[in-house]
Amino acid sequence: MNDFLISIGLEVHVQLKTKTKMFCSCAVDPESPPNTNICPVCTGQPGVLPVKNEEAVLLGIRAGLALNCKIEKFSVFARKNYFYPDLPKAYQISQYELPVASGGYIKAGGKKIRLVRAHLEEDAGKLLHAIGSEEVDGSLVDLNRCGTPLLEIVSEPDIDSPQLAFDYLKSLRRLMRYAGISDCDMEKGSLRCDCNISIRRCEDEPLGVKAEIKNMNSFKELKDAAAYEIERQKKLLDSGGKVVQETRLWNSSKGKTFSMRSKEEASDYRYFPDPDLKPIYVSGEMLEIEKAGLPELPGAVKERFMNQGLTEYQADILTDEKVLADYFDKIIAGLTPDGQEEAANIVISNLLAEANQSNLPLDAFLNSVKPAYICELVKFRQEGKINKQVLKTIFPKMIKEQKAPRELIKDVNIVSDESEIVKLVEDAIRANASSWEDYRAGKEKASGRIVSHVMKESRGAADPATVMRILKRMAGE
Amino acid sequence: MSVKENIRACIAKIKGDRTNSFIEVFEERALAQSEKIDALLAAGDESLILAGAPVALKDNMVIKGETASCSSKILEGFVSPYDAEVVTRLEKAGAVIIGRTNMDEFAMGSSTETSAFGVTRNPLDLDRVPGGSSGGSAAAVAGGLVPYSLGSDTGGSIRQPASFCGICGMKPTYGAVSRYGLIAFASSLDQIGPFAKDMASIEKIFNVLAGKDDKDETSCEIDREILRKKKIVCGIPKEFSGSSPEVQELFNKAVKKLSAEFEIEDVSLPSTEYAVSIYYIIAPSEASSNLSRFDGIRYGFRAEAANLAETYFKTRGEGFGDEVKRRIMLGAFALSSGYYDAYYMKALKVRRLIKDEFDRAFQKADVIISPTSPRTAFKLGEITDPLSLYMQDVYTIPANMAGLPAVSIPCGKCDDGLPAGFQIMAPRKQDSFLIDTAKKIEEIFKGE
Repeated sequence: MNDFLISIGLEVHVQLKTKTKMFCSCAVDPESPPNTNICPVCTGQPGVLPVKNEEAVLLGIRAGLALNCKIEKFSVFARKNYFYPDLPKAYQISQYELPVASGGYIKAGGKKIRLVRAHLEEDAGKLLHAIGSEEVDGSLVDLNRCGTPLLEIVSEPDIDSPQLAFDYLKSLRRLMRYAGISDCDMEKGSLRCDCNISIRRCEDEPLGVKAEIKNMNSFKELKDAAAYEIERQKKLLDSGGKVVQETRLWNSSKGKTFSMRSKEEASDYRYFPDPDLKPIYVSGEMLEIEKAGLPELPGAVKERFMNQGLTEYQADILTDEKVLADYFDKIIAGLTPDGQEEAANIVISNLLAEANQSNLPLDAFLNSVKPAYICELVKFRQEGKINKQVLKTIFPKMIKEQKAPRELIKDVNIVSDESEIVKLVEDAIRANASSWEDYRAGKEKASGRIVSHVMKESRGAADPATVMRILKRMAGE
Repeated sequence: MSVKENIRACIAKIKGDRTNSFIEVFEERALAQSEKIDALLAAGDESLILAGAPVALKDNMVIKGETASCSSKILEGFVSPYDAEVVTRLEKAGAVIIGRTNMDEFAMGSSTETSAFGVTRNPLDLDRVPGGSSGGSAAAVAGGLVPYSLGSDTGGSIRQPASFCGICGMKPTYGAVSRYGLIAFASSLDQIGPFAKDMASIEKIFNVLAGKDDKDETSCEIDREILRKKKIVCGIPKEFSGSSPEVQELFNKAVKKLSAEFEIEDVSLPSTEYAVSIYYIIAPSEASSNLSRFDGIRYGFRAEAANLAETYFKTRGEGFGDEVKRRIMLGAFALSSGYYDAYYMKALKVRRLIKDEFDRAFQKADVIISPTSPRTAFKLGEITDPLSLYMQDVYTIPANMAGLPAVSIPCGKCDDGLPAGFQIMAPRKQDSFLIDTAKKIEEIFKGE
């Protein structure tokens, strides 16, 4: 009926890539058996005290820089008090009034999404409900995750569509991975996202009442949940109803959100500065060191690739993962500038296709392919020594057998002698006389029959580009 | 006499104690440690500062493999999986940790009457309280059971019982002694400190305990160099004037004795008028959070319950005593949204004022002196109104608010025959200077 303005804000938790926990020296390792990475501190024994993990604090500062935030000279840890069996101290150490970073923005979908803040905190443990099971009949708690360092990144409600929410989260993930702050693996829980959604009829109205959506386990679920929630709120308002402030859970199998608790039931967390911890002081010097240590971020890499002559489409794909962008940089280091576009083609069409088929993570896969091999392939293509068909044939072999392309092309029937191709073209012209006449008369499309004749006769061993070049030359004579 | 024989004798004395100062004697642990010390001594090790000395610990400091309870039912059955930093330091110095002493539940009280293990009596008069909350540790030293004990002081819990029992007690600079392993009451105020019969003993054990600990971010190194002054200036805050007539008279006499060697000056600490009020916002606020972990899930007492919420309500309802519950409610209220600024934030601002006023006073005076407590030990059950009990800490709380080191030393007996303590406060980190000054004053008091 009416069009609504959509306002989405995301609260994203990323798990910082530290060896040890936020406030004790236990290892961070999600693969360990339950309750093996625990100590008196992270299990909240009486009398223990937290001690800040400097590595986590530095990652928080680095994240703030990558997110264009203002890094606060002075920030404070606060206690968020609530009772739950996965929270041993019955308070979570977080940051409240004075976070480590504030402001900032992330570029996504061609827009700048502003950030409210980024703050450090510790994760809770995990509950395992085994009610009715023979051995346990109750709930179990695993405190391995308890105390894992997290950074919460809160956006302004600048996101106006589920797609932009999706793009924002992708950009955020890419930034965090580039800067070495977090693996951001949603499946493993090192990236988690809550979504605040409200709608209103026009700009002049204040923001509508928001619902907070939790429990999205993938990028797609975020998009789906946001889309569902927007429709739900629209229908509600159109039918004269009101949106209530509440927390809703996304149920992916039903494709719907369900009310979890209303505002009235929400806890009063009784935040106050944690008296056990000293404030974080960031000196100008520390900030300069962190700034200097910040790696080239995806936006800058993409721009550089485009300045080097790649299309935006190519640059986007190549900068999606830092390992891939780094890999591409290694390839082009071994090429002249005019080989870059062909290199991008091979990486995108051949290499990534193989990567998808292998069951390896991208970084492990890339480690198994020598960049020098790709360089060789690019040169062969430039010299017209191999065509796309040949490339496709030898590519998997090159990876599987760990052989250089120059070894592999020996075994493949390749027509690289131009005089031979000229002969084939002449044969094809003879066999397709009318097409040849049409082509000479200016019908570009008529060349198709001739080229395909050559390809068929050579059993795919001729390079179509070379064939076209010869054909053109003959037509011009 | 070997350490082991000495420790056996000490244990026997504790078993005959009529004050109920101990909750438990760590016989096995103490004998094992004494054997170790005997062996070291036999091997000629002369480095152990506290070789073989029995030390009693207030029941809020944890020892690996031993029970710790904070004198509360809620910690029933809790055995610590780790050692408090003070335990490590004491044992390294050759001390023998002999047992845990009674206290007000979670250190909340000034009389050791809120313990779940019964009251502790004052060895000087069994009908009277030993003070609190470290009443058991004070009574253990005063009763001659042990030469040393440790207490914790959040608002006077070492100094006031020292005063009531006629011994020395020291609350060091905030952070001078690691809090790691001290079961928290109010984290920004809590400080571990020693009891002994004289300042020389306090000095000895304090030097073992003090020093920065990487496990406690709030711990610090103190200034070990003793300031040398031609004539030490003692400041008397004019606001500390609410004592009972007999305590005031004893204090005035004590000051007179000092005036030959020390310069006496009036100082003013106007905001200390609010110290007790803000203490009862800050300490309960921190306590409400610190004591949340006692939820029946991982350790200690758990009430039978039908579901999770009931587990929390019943465990905490049955596990905590009235005074603890009162303070948790007070603190939870002060921190709740809508009240935080009016109470907690404002209290922090007043605390800042108190600190600043002390800083200014210390420009005029080298130490600040006062009675430790406005009165002498009261009778068991005599004060039941919580507010009257809270006012017992009016002279001791300011030092906690400002993080200052302070001692209480005996300065004689009042007309009622009961001792009263003499409090000396010094600037932050000047613990060594404070001890040195207290020793001089102690000499003067003894020399009468």
